[in-house]
Amino acid sequence: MGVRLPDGIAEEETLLARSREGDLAAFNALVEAYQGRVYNLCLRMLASPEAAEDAAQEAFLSAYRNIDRFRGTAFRSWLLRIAVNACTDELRRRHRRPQVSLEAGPAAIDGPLEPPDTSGSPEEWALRSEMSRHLQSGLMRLPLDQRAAVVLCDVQGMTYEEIATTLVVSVGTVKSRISRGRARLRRLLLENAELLPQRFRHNIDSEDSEESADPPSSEA
Amino acid sequence: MFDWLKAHRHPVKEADLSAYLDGELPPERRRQLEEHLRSCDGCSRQLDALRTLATALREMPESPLPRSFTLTPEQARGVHKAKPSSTAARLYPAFRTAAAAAIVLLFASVGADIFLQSGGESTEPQAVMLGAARESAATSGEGNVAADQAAAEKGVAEDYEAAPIPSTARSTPLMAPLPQPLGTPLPGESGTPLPGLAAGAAETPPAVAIPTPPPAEEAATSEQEEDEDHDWLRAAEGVLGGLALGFIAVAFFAGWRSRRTQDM
Repeated sequence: MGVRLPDGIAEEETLLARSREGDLAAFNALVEAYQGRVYNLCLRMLASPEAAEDAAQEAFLSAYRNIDRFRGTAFRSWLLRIAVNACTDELRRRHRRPQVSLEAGPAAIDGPLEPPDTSGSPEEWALRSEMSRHLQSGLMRLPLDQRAAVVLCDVQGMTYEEIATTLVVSVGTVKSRISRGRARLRRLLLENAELLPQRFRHNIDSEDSEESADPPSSEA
Repeated sequence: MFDWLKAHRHPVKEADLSAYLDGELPPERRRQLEEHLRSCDGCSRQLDALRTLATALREMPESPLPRSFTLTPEQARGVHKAKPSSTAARLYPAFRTAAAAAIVLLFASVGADIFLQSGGESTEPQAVMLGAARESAATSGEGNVAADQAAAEKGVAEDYEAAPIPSTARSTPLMAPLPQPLGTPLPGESGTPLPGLAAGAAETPPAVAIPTPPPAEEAATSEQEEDEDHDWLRAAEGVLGGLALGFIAVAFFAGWRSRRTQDM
C-alpha cells in the first residue's frame, strides 16, 4: 500500500525527487498518500461527488504535469492549492453547462454525502449526517474565497500560516476570510434554524434568546 | 433573531474571536481578549456559538474515496503530450513571441528612422552601443558646451528658441558638464546644442536615448518633423509601439493565468 505520511518527510522528499524525473510509481505513492485529503477538500468545495471526483483527478494530473515546477518544501500546501484551483475551474465549467445546481438548498445535494460511519450509534450518525447536509449547503452559499478558507481551516484543520501559503494570500487575509465566512455561515444556518438538529440549534438559539433577554450587552 | 449581529460593534472584533478560537492570536492580544471575555457575556456567547459551528464543521464525516486517483501510464503519457490546458496558457507563448517581435521591429524602425533622418552626412552607425555613446559624450561633453556657448553668443540660439524644441533634446544631460544635475539646463544651453555641433555630436542624443524606447521614439519623432519623407516610418513606429504594448499586456495576463496553479 501507499506510503503513510507524514511519518516520512524524508520519504516524501525522495518520492518528489523521483517524480520529477518522471517516475510514475513514485508520484502515485504521493497520490495515495494525499488523495483522501484532496478528494474531501473538493467534496466540501463542490458538494457534488461527481464534481469532486473530476476536480480531484484534474488536480492530480495538473500536479503531475507541473511537478518539476514545485521546488519548495510545502508539498501539501502546493497540492491543495492546485486542488482549490481545480475546484474553481470545475465550478466555472458547471456553471457554463449546468447539470446539477451546486448552489441550491440541502435537498438538491445529491444523496447522502457520507455512507454509514461505523463509529457511534445510528442516531448519532443520522444526526451528524443531517447536520453535515445543512453545513454543506451553507458552505455552498459562501463566496468561494471564504468557502476555501473555512474548509481548509475547519474541515482540513490547517493553520492560518499553511492556509495563507495554500491560497497565496497574507495571514491577515486568511484571518478575515475565515471570520467572515464563519459569521455568514452561522447567519445562513440561523435562517433555517428550525430545520437544524436540536443540539446545534440549541447552541445558537440559546444565545439568541439570552441575548435578546439581555439587551444591555447588545445595545452597549 | 439576529441580535447577536450587534456584537459586531463591540470593541473586540469578531475576527479576533475567530482567530482566538483557532489559537492564532499573538500572546499579548490573546491575554487582552481573555481578560475581556471574563467581563463580557456577549463576546463569550459569540465565542461559544463560533466554537459550536467550528466543531460541527470539524465533525463533518470524511467521505471514503469513490475510486483511486493514481495515474495510469496512459494518463501520464497524455500529460506529457498535453498542451497547457487553459486557452490563456496556450496563448501565452504566442503572445510573448509576438510582443518580442513587435519590440524588435519597433527598434528596427526607430533605428532606420534615425539613420534615414541623418541622411548621408555621417558614416557613424546610428545604433551605437550605450557604452560607446556614453564614452563619446564624456569626451566631447565639455567641448560641446563650449561650442554651444559660442553659438549662443553668435545669436544662433535665438532662432532655435523661437521654434519649440522637444524637452528631451533641450535638456539632454550630455550637453551639460557631467556633474550638473540632470534635467536642469544651464541658461546658456536652453538653445539647443544641435546647431553648433558637428554632425557626429548632433546625433548623440537619439543614439544614447535608444536603450529606453519612449525617449528614443520621441526624440526621433521630433527630429523627423522637418523630414516629411519618413512619415510612414513614424506611423509604423506608432503601430508597432501600440502592438507591442497590447501583446505585452495579453502575454502578462496569459502568463499569470498559466502560472497560477503551477509555481510555488
